[in-house]
Amino acid sequence: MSNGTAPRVISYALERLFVDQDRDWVNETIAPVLAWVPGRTKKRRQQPFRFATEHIQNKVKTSVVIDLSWDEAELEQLVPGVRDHARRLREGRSAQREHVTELAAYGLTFVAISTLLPGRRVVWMQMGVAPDILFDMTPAALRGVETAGRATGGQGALKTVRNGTPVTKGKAAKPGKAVTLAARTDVAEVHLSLWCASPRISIMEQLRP
Amino acid sequence: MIPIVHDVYEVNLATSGKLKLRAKGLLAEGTPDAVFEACVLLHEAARLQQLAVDSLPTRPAVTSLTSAVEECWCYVEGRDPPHAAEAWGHVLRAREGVEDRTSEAILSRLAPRFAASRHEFGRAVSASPMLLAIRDAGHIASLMPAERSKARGELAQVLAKFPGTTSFWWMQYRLAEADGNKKEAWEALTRARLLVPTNPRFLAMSLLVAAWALPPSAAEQHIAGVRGSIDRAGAEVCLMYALAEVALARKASPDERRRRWRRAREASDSGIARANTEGLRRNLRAAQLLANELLAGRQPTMEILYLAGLGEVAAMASPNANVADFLTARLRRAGPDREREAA
Repeated sequence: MSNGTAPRVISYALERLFVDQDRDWVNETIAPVLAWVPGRTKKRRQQPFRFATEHIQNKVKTSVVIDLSWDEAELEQLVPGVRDHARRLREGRSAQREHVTELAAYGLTFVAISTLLPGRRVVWMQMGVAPDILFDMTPAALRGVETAGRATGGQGALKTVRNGTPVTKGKAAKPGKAVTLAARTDVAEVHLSLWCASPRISIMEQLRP
Repeated sequence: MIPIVHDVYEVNLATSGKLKLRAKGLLAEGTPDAVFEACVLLHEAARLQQLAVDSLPTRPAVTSLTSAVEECWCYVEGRDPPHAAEAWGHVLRAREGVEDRTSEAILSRLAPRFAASRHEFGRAVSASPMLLAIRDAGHIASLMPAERSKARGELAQVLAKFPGTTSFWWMQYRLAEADGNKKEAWEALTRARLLVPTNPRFLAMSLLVAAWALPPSAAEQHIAGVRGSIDRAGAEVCLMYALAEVALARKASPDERRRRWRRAREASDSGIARANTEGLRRNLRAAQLLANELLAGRQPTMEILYLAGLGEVAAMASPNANVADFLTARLRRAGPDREREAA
């Protein structure tokens, strides 16, 4: 859209993740994706789930549509009990929602890596420090993807995650993920993968090099 | 050599990452059992993180810092503020070698979470007067039953919020043991062991407590898991194993009884060679004398405590007490070195 052409459409079946990535990483994220992506209204629960994605690589922005779908029966075979697990997460207590969002964002980032950075495979995840998902763990030359999810808020919410928030009355400024990652001399390559469930949009941006 | 070390690094980090992801899934479930299991996984992830970075022959300062941050984060998320505070010390030390801008970026996620967790934990402990009293006095045995009951209630409340706090599960075990509550004592000690299976005191104590709290077959199953490695175990494990064998021998057939006494004797012999404190050495000597007497077909008396150098302890006990019961109950309560802390 930004270059005037129709966005590229990528259809991706969630089951495909078990081929594109190590299943140990994928397993835990399937139920959260199933719980988080469809939302609560009937209309929004129809497949495919279309994410309008802004893909920025080497400073070139392109628009991509990721049509995500899944076959619950096949997923159930791959991860026994996943349907019931997703139901529990959907009905779960609100205090745990942040974990569901986080896990779903990991799962969707695996989709983004598999579709937009084909051939890259996740080898490590760290959670106390960015980037969350790594495909190269060489000390002081890490390569990976930092991820975040927001249930609502669209572009505005994702831009806030990326850019942070300025000082407001009584609240200190909060640096965004982009500036935090830019300060990291130990990261050789990093992408930012941000997801919003309603409206369904995402950003996949290469921040370094 | 270097590629081998690098493999160790990668394997440990990958495993640590998978455990963290699994833990995150359990936290999302949110039930008390799932959250505790998440805490167990996060404690293991923290240990693997440290193993990974220790396997590097040389490492950039920034790698030490990110590793320390990750370790600390595991303890924060693993609801163990005391361990998180220890790891925070590593973070501060590692930070010294990294330029400010980078270190601030690395700490931007952890620092506020650590501060919030520390604050919440401090508030929970401050609202628990009996826990504060135990912390300051340092001993549980002297508490009155009503005080212990109150302390257990307070502890349960703190543990509901911070189920990964190993030292509090240990305290819960000691309070339940003092109350003679076998089920709760075993459960609390098991939780402490699950969180830190590498703690030799937890393993050692579990042998003694198994013989006390579990049915004989379950106790046997537990101590059999250690039997094969007793010749490599630390002195404290040897001591508790020996006394557990003596305790289980009571309900065994005559042949089985002698086998257990012999194993007790062998474990005491092994332990004495590795004892690194006077308390351990004396208790092991007592266990050795106890096994000798039993194997010789004699009824052991309190005299063995005097012979082992535990005269001060023996002087305060009834001269007609059963020495095996006295010794095991005493060790179950306080361990072989009263001044040492477990966790």
